[in-house]
Amino acid sequence: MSSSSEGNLEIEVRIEGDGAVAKVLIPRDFPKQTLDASQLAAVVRQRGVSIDATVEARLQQIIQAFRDESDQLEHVIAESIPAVNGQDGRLEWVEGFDPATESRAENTPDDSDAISYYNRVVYIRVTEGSHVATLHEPTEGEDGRDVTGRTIKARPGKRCDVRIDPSVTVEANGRIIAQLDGVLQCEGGLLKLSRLFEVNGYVDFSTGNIDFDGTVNVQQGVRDRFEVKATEDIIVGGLIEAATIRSGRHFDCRQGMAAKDRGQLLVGGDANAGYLNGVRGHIKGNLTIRRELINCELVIGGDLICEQGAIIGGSIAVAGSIRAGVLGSPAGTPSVIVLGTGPLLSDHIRKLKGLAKQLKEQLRAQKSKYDALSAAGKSLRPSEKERLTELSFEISETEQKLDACEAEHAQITQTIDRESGSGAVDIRVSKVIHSRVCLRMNNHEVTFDAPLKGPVTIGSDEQDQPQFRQGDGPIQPLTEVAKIRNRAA
Amino acid sequence: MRVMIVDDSKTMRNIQRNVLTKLGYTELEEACDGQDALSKAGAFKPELILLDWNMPNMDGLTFLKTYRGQGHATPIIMVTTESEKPRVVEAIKAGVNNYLVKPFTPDGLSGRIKETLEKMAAA
Repeated sequence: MSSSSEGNLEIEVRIEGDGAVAKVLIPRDFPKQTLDASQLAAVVRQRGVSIDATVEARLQQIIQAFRDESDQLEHVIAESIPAVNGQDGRLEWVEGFDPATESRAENTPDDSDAISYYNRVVYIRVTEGSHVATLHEPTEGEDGRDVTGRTIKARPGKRCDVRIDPSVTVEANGRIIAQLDGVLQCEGGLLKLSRLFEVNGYVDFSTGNIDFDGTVNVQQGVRDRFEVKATEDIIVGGLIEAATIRSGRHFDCRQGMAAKDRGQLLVGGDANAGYLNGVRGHIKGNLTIRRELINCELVIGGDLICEQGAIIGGSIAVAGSIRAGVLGSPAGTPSVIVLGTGPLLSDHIRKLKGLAKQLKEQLRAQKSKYDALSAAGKSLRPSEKERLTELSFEISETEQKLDACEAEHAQITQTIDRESGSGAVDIRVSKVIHSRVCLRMNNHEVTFDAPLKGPVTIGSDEQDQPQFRQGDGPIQPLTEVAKIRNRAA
Repeated sequence: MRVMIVDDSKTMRNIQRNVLTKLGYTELEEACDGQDALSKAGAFKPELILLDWNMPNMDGLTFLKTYRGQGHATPIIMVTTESEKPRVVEAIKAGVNNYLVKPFTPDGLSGRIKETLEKMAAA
């Protein structure tokens, strides 16, 4: 008995599907008595089929069926074990951190049912130490085996092709942890946290308000009523409408801000802009304007530099020097410029007084609640004991704020006393000072009734009397060209 | 130093977080009950734990016993409204290192933290 063809009484073993299945075919007229398990097994083995306990059991069943006059002459005796391919590595985002998820509008703080699209969130802000995602390594998979015992190799999973920036770290268990506060980005296969938040278009309903710990770069402009807040710099490429801009450090607007008397600019460092129109605000450092400063109400802690441009209308308080092309307008627009630190500090001291009053009232209310609750003594319920602890902390916090507020108040008062009436005045106007320009300098209010051609320099003498110099001409009292009123009188 | 705050009240956790931040501890982890604390302690590896007693799911005492049972010697301060002497003794027997009864003041909490850490350093 063999697997080769000898007439039509030979048992045939077929291997199909590249080793996936092995079959035995027994001729109908094969003598029943001569078929036994060991001979059948020998034929199968000769054909290369690997014989294990399962195959042996099947061979026994085939012989039994054949002897029982079964019509079935073709029997499957072995099947391959397919390989299980490995799984590819992948990034699994922790809920709420997937940068590809849709933006969401947030509830307004005062009405939980109302949705504010101004407060829409389109970027994922992450704080240091947050678990943002888990990196799953690829798996090897499991090899299979064909009917002849040959190994069918499993395809190992591919590595997740995401690259990891040093701003995040991957722990041994795959947890990806933020190493700094920033915006989560996964672009071009690089996962990183950025301290720079880029807005590719406008700040509008597509982005919502921006409040970012770092620098914000807006490629286009900022629409009406939106707010951009950053702890570091704010850079805006286009037009800013009646929006609110709050930067912890510098502000740079390549075009300008047309605020319609509603927009606000609060800058912790220096500010640069093409123009500002109808803007209210406070700039702690220098303000540089390339064209016009029109109808603004600004307090500037440093210098005001508008060498080629015009300062027209509004009220500008400047602690440092002024460099301008033109002050006022030919139409005689009233333009007030206040010089020295006094106005800045007086404004600040007024705010501090208000804050101190508010804190004292708050403290009184907190202490009264504390006293009322603690009067119950040992019979307090646990929740009341917790409330007492909270009140104790609130009182401590308020006391600390009040101390800080009073200390700052005292310090500023001293500064005002020290600098009173001695502020240095340094104004240089290259083209013209128009009529109805009013300069408030030290104790004097200087009003120009007629235009004064530049270049002109304005300062004060040792007795704080205002004086000016036109071109290379002599230094003269300002009373020659302007009305001066003593404000102290 | 890594400090874990275990309390079911977010306000209490915030208060403790503020005190710890003022003391210069910035590596802080919060847990809302004993079960949450056990699941976070493995990865966070706290060096000090501030533990409330009465919490849902797993109370502070059960956490304390389980955590000590796992062989951890991390100093633990029980911060709780439980002021009865037998309860305090029970907590100390279970392995608490210090005890602070609510209501407490910011100075009270910072004093107890310093005291506990000094004791641990001297031991």
